[in-house]
Amino acid sequence: MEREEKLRARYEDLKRRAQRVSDIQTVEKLFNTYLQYYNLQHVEGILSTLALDQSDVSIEEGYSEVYEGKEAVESYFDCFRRLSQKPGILVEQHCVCPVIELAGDGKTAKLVCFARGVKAVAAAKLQTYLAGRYYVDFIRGEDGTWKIWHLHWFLIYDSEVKKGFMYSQTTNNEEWKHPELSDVFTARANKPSTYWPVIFNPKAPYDYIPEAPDPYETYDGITALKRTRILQHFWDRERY
Amino acid sequence: MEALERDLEQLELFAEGLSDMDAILNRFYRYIHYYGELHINGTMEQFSTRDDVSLEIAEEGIFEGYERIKEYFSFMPKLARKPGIMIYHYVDTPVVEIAGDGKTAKLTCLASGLDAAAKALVQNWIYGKYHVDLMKEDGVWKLWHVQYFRTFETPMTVGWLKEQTAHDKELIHPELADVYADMPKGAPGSYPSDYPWPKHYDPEKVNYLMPEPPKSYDIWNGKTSMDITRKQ
Repeated sequence: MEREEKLRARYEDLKRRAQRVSDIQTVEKLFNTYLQYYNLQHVEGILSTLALDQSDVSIEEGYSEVYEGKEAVESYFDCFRRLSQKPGILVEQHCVCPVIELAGDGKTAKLVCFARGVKAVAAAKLQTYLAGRYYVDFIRGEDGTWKIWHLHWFLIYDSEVKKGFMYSQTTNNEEWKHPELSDVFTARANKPSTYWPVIFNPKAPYDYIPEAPDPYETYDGITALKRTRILQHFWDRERY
Repeated sequence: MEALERDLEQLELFAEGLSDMDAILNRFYRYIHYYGELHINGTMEQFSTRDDVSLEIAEEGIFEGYERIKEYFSFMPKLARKPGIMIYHYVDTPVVEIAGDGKTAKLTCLASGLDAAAKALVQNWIYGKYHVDLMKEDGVWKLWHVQYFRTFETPMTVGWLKEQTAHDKELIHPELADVYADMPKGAPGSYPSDYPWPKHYDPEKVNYLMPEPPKSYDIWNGKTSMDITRKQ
């Protein structure tokens, strides 16, 4: 009997570890699914990856403000229904080098990755390449299904190809204002931005986040802005 | 003890699914590596030898059967002998769905990279997407249907607003004529005749740059690379 109990304990430990590996695979696949739907401007697909049943589900992209809650998040992605009907649109973001931490309690997970890609808005004569990083919180629902809970895309540059990122970092501003797309980006955020925009600035010291997530036991809030690097504050942040 | 044995059997199946995920990605990544090295034998070793194994690259049609695929890749040893050739083509953002029965899998991913053919003064940016079906044969995952969707191929100094099919010019460039002169013709591709979108990024038209990520499924029920679920 004692042997069976020991074997049962080993089985339970193995099962727990296998489940964690499975969860990490699932979380990465879920985020990649989100990005593939994002690139297709496939709104139903995007929304299927999000934890819309969570009252604080949220999206923050670049230096936009925060869209929090089901209604606001849905209204944000509604722009893709209009964008996808415009000629000459290209949206492509890739997930590279993901770091995933599954909470010790297995209920949540965090992911940070690089995101690079290309875009085009032919009517505005814009072809850009972009770089940034994603911070994503995931939550496991009561039915065991993982969903994206908080998503924050940190933009480093969105640069006109012919100019390069030394001279062009915020091409997306031109897109939003362009008459051709004036009816596309109409959603209004319901919370202020959490982050002052550190776009690549040739004149400013290097200070990009998010950092890769640390191991954690139980979810204790969004850590997208957490900095552990000891910053050399010899420069005046307000100047930039 | 019997209950424990039953539980262990379930756990073994669960663990097999986890290792399958890695094996599937490794198989496709090996293909991508060998492809980039213009290593025809390595490339071919990743495919199943089933009669219905197939390859479809952009608009070049379908090559079905192991020997037909090998015929398609016959340009590799010839291109590899040319000076100034570079193929740096890689994939990321994969989504893998393993069938409920564990016998087949579907993979989609994003592809990007560069290529160069110095004598032809070609240096291109390349973007595209893959839809791949895989099959488990005697415990080994093999490529079954590989389909590449072109987003654009453009000279580095031009950009995708101006040009999207630079590769087509390579195929007919005099410096590379002996490489591609005997390229076989594929059977008609997967795009239906009434496909409403351009087959690569087109600045003049409304685009839908396929494929969609695969949905979960239990048993293989045909190719789904051209399935469209987005409300238009």
